[in-house]
Amino acid sequence: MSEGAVLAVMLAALGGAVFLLRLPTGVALFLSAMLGSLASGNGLGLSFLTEGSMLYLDPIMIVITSLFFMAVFERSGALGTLNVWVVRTFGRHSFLLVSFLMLLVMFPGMVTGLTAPCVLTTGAMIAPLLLSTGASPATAGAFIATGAFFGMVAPPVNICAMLICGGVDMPYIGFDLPLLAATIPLALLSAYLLMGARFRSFDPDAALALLPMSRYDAHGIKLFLPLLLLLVLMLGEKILPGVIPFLGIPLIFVVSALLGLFTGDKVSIRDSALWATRESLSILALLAGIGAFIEVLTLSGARGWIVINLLSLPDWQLYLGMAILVPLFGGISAYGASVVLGVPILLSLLDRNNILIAAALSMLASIGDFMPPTRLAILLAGPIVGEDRVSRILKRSVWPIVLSVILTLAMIYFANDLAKLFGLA
Amino acid sequence: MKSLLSTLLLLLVLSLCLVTGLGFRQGRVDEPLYPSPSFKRTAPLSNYFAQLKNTPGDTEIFEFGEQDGGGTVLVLGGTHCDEPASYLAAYLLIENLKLERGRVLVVPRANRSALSHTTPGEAFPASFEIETANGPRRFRMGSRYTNPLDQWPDPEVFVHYPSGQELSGMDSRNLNRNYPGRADGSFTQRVGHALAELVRVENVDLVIDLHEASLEYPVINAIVAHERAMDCASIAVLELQLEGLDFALEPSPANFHGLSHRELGDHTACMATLMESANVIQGRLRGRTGAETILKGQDPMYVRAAEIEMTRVPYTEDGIPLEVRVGRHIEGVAKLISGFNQVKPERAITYAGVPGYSDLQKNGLGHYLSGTK
Repeated sequence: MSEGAVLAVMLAALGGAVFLLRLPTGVALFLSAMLGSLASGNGLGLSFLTEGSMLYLDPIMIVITSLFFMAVFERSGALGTLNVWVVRTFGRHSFLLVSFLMLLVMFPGMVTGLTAPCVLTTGAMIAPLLLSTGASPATAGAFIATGAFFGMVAPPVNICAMLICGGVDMPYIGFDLPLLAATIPLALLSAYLLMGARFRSFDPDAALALLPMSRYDAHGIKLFLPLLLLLVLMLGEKILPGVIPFLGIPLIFVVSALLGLFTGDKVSIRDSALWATRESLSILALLAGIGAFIEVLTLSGARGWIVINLLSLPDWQLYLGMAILVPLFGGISAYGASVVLGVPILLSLLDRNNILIAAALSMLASIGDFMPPTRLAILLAGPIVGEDRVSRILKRSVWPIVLSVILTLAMIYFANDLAKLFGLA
Repeated sequence: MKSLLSTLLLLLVLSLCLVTGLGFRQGRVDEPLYPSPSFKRTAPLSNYFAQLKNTPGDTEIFEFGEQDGGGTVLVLGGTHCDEPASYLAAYLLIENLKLERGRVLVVPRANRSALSHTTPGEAFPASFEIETANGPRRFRMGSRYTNPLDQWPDPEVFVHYPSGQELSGMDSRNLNRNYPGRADGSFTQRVGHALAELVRVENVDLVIDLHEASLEYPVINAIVAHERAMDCASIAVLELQLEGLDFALEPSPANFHGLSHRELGDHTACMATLMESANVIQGRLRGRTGAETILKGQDPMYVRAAEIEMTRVPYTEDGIPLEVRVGRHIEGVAKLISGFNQVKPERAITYAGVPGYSDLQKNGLGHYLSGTK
């Protein structure tokens, strides 16, 4: 069976399993991968399916441990207290408040290069505040998912850009300014498009009545020690390498959560761990299934078939193809899209400034965190804001996505001119 | 009913883990090598950095010749273990070399840990076989990266020591981004440090680090040379061109750190060089992935890529077989040593017994890896 036919079999199997058999997406991806392996003449491909399911072991551990941290942070009273502080400090200045909230959501992504920590930490922290403005859960979810996306792209850490650099042996230098320019203005604009109207008519007193009570009087500043420890451990290795050891993000979340057991209201470790496991189980299955799916895409040659067909497109169609295929492939994996599509595209555009091209491609690939089948950013935001139908969050996120695609294509087209502007030429 | 189904599913997953786990465990078993009679001894890399002893980073150094006034060359294979021509060229040297003057040190599995697993998502076969006079001989396929069982977790950002250059976290497990290494660093940094110590302690004159790269990669079918190795490499490239083998000469970039040609050149007294052959299995554009892809180097997607000028080397349906890639490395090693001999005639290194590029095309790789030496 040809590579294109194998891809068709895999997509048909995936669609059938999700929409007809109503199987969980993770299980459907695994079955689709197994069928792809059979169709490409590789038998059941058990070793490949197993190896592939390990592809996202680190993100899997980050999701479950960050949810555990958030459960402890909320149940200790710290989350409610933080929201009350934000409303009291910024509540009467809508411009400051919206900007602050967007930058707050972005922050974990800026230091980790991932959307999940944004959604699951600062996103989850401000979700009650966003909902207290009267915004729909879908809008609040879109605000968080959009902030997470821009955080993932913004400097100093943009893993997608680093992976593209790694693929062409290019140092990750000179990216800060272009990435800042590409993300911060658009992030603030998106924040206003999504929540500006709500915050202009924001009544801080009404919001405070809806939010959980502050527990500051009972526990004082020590409520925030877990958050402080989290920041120190995440940033410490970068600021003081060799002095503060790098524990790995999953262990950092666990250590910080354990501290949270002693800094506020009484928290049941068992209940928090069970809640985190229940909430994350479908996401974990999804990530394992996607890993197996990617492995078989590669094994069967379907991955190469997609890439070569994209690169074979004539000039203007190549832009259209990039705008569609890179985010769509990013829906399977933003990192995968960076390596599999980003690197060859960069190599086919070597007459333009490499830094601008890599920065733009990293942003296009990161849009994949909105795209099915993973839709990681909105999938994680759904339960946080109480939105069961995550497609509603995607609909609300359309403008930030469209604006980002237009911006990245402009960055690619005008790469050499922009490079002069940023002093990179 | 639900608990029965859950139990059955759990048993199924455990069985899958057991079956595939046993297969993955085979990746830890080093394939036997059969050194030529000229071989003097093996030494573990931990002789040069004791902390590596009894770890997966401790790898064999095959030594040929004596300190007889001739120079010392170090050949590194298996820095990236998903580049099979690199370690097969090293195996071929070990099994055929007859040294006449000087010393040759061969480290065929420079990052031994990387040969014990494959990279998730790349669908590489666990092994491949080469036909020899004594039947098929099996070789492992490995990964570009140190096994995460030996070094984990990856930081989000890998900061190279000592330059401070930032790379993606995964490169913290890439040996060729970790030179000159660090004695108190990560597993991969310690391996890099041990190899740098080997170069220093043994007064290695010339280092040749063997690699493969995808066809769209700009530095391909090339010799990359540190400033001090430029004369030697220029002569080598000229001699290779005269024999009809197209090689480019690339200067080692001064601002890209962690690579052997840059850091071993800067931090030791050796002439540091690196060679790249063209291998479709490295590429993102490749079609079906399997053992045949490694052996024959044929791929219809890359034929299409060549048609749209995406490849940096000519490519047709005939592919670039393993014999061609190993042959280029072997011929490149010969010519780099020839270049060294012309730059430093008083320390000339001479050898025989190793097949040339045309011998490999004529007789096949298996002819020289029969394992009966």
